[in-house]
Amino acid sequence: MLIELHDISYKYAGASDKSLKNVSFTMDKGECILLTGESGCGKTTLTRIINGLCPKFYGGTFSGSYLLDGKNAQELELDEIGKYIGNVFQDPRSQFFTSNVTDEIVLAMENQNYTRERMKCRLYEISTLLGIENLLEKDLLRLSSGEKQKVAVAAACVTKPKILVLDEPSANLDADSTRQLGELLYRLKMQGMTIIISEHRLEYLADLIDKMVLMKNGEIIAVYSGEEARHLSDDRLCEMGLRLFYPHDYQNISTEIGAESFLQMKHIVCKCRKATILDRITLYAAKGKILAITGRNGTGKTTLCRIAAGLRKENSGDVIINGVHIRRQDRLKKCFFVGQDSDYQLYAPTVLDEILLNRKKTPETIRRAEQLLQQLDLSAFSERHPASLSGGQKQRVLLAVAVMWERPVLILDEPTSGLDGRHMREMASLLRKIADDGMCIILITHDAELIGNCADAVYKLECSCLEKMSKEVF
Amino acid sequence: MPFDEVDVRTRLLVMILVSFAALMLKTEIALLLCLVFMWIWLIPFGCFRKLLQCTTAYGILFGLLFLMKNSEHLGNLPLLTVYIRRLLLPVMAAAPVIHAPTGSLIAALNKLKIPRAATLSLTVMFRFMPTLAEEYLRIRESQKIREISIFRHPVKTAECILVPMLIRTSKVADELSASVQVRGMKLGGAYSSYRKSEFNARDRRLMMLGTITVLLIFLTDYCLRRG
Repeated sequence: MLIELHDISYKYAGASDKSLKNVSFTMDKGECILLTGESGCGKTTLTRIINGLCPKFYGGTFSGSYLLDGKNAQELELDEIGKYIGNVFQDPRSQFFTSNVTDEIVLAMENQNYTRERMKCRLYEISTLLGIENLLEKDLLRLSSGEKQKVAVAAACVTKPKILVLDEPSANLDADSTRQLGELLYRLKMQGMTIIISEHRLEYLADLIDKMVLMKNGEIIAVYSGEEARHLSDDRLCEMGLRLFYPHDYQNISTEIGAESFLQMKHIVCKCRKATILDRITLYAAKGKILAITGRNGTGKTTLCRIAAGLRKENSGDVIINGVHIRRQDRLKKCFFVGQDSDYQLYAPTVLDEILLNRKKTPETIRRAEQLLQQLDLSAFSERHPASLSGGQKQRVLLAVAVMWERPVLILDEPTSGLDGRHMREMASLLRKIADDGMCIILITHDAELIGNCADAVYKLECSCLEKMSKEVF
Repeated sequence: MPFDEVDVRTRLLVMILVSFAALMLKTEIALLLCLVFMWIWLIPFGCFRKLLQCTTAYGILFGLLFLMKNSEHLGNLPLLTVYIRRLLLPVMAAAPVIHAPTGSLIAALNKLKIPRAATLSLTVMFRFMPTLAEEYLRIRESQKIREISIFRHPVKTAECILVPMLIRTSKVADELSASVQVRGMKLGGAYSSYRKSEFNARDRRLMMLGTITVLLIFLTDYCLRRG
């Protein structure tokens, strides 16, 4: 056995409860294992036990035994464990140490004192295997999310570790990049690599996994073989709070908003330096409806919505809200934009204060805020610091803030990135409820399941042009 | 760009010399000469954006100083504009170092026999500069939506900027540290460099020219003070 975990329990330093409770499982060479479960179930902690970060980096209390290739992992230093295990973390932005693709890939080899010739050779091999030769020497900050994730995989695999551990690698990827990631993992598996993936999105892993480990509250509650997992019914997966292996096709969703348009963006052109990001885009959104904008990473979806919200100036084109041409500055007062990363958008010491931030504190507004907290199932957290909440809870706080500002247009950028199936479906029904109250909602999303669950119309942005979704496009 | 191959040690020397000059020079003309030197130095590296940003800021702060110098109610505010203006010179001089691939910076520092702890700290510092700028811009952008204005409520806004900045930065620092440790980075032990740090005749000439220029600026400063 390559990995043997026996009766592992772990508690983070300062935490009141254990994050892992009596976890045992084994892994053979060449296997691909999926760790899944609702947010906070202990998947990430288990990956941290495997790569040694818990307890060697994060501290805390550890009990149980962990054998890595027959050796007691507790007696190995982090860099020694690193020779067996390559790691890909959720957010590439915070795992890159350098600013250059080549430097990032060779970093682990430099730390293991490889000769320059050997480094050149391995760099060539790994970049050819993963198809990223064209990215070498490029600035990491300028790469798309999909490209960054490929670089992260290359950096993890360059020293030929026996095991690859990935923590939600598809959280920021579009459908194409996710599919490519699946293909890339398949190639690595064919080369004999053992793969452990902690993930919510299941569709790209359906044909890859040999085992699915289901976790809840820090415990392993079920282990399915790949075949058994693939045959779990959609209803069963929903019951377990998971996403689907084979999400429903959403091609039957209309390409027309089907109501009188409230927000119109006409012939929008946006350029950055000399590149055209958006080329004469026209878009209509209506009150009481949810419009989803999808498309590959880097095609300008967020730019288009930032223009709608007044956060960015268009080079030409018109933005009309409720029949009136609106200047950029005034759009800021008509639209509410919820960005992808909630950490940038939460400032107050408590959840209640967050909702009332920069609003007049009258008995009516306080009552309204409390009512919103109740509607969004946040009453129990009203006195908690927003930063201490889970990803799904933070998103709900931001929704409450958006509703509190009573702006007619609500734009959300990837609201379900990193959310499990249950929270994604809850978010979909919340958005439906808010739209039914008369708000015009625009979603920027790669999440096919979210679109299927709540969107009234779907537009696909491709190569700076907006296409109404059709069977030819998908 | 023509100076892409210039060794990081040359870039570091100019950065240190200019930082020293920004601290020690006394006359406005000498500081202006230093700014001109930065234009000549940064253009071949292709750092046009940084040049324009810093020069504009320099001009605005210089103008503000003239507007404020006769006002008695502003306390130390005119002095603050002088300090910030001086700080712009090292910021400009650091641009070619930040612009260099991280591997080249580490290789150059290794060649200089700088202790590993200092090399890694310096590299992380340069790695964090663009991150901090990006984090700040994202926070300010989302604050615009909620009408949090730095002019209307400066103290409240500062708190609203600092809290998420601290949370984000500590999260990034934690994840970055974990990421490099599992990739074998540590203070002791042997390590190698993929990039060569080659110091050639052009670097020697550039170092000499840089040093002479800064010395001449100091000489001008001295002469101007002597009248």
